[in-house]
Amino acid sequence: MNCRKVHNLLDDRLDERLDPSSRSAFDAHLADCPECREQWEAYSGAWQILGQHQSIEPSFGFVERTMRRLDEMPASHGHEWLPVFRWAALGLTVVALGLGGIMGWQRWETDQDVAQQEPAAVTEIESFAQINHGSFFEDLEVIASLGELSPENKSTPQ
Amino acid sequence: MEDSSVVSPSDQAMHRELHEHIQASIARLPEQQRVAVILCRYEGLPYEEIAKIMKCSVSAVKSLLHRARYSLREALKEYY
Repeated sequence: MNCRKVHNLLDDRLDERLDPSSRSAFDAHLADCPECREQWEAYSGAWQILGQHQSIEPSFGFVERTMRRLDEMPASHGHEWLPVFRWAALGLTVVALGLGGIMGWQRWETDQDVAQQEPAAVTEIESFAQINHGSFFEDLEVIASLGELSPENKSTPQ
Repeated sequence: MEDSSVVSPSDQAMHRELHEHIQASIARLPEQQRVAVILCRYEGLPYEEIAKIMKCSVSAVKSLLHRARYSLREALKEYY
């Protein structure tokens, strides 16, 4: 093997692509040729340094490889219970809203009944006042009769 | 007894400097050469795979690597 051939095979030797016989011839030439040996040491030295200082940054194509592996991974079974809780929470919300609506409706109906009763009571009070020609609060009999009209006082004796 | 695994601050500084110099040297390479170097040296791919990725021939990959190695040899000669 001559110097020109060795020069052409530097990359193949560096990347371990030489067959055993070519590799033996290559190494034998380096042992006998100081110039080629020096060239080989410089050529391989820089390449070795690159390998010793691996970058701590993500390697080339790291993101693509990671995403591909994630796609290939089977679906996770760790959170199958989550939809159950979601549906339960939704059901509880619907029930709470329904109860709130019913209670609100009942309250509204009660308020309506009271509002309808109050004008009638006022009308009766006014009529008593007119009948007695004066301020009915000053007339004890009228006040007593008003007490009889009041629903609370009908059931509770004085 | 001295622990041989402990790296001195000066060694750490030298290591860091060399690391930065290597990264800068690779970054200065033309893009095609840089990609070939990364795929070959850091990904450990064979020439055929690199050629497929870079959509070129195997001989083109060898040529790219050869030129890149000569450039890196000049850039890093003070460190070996």
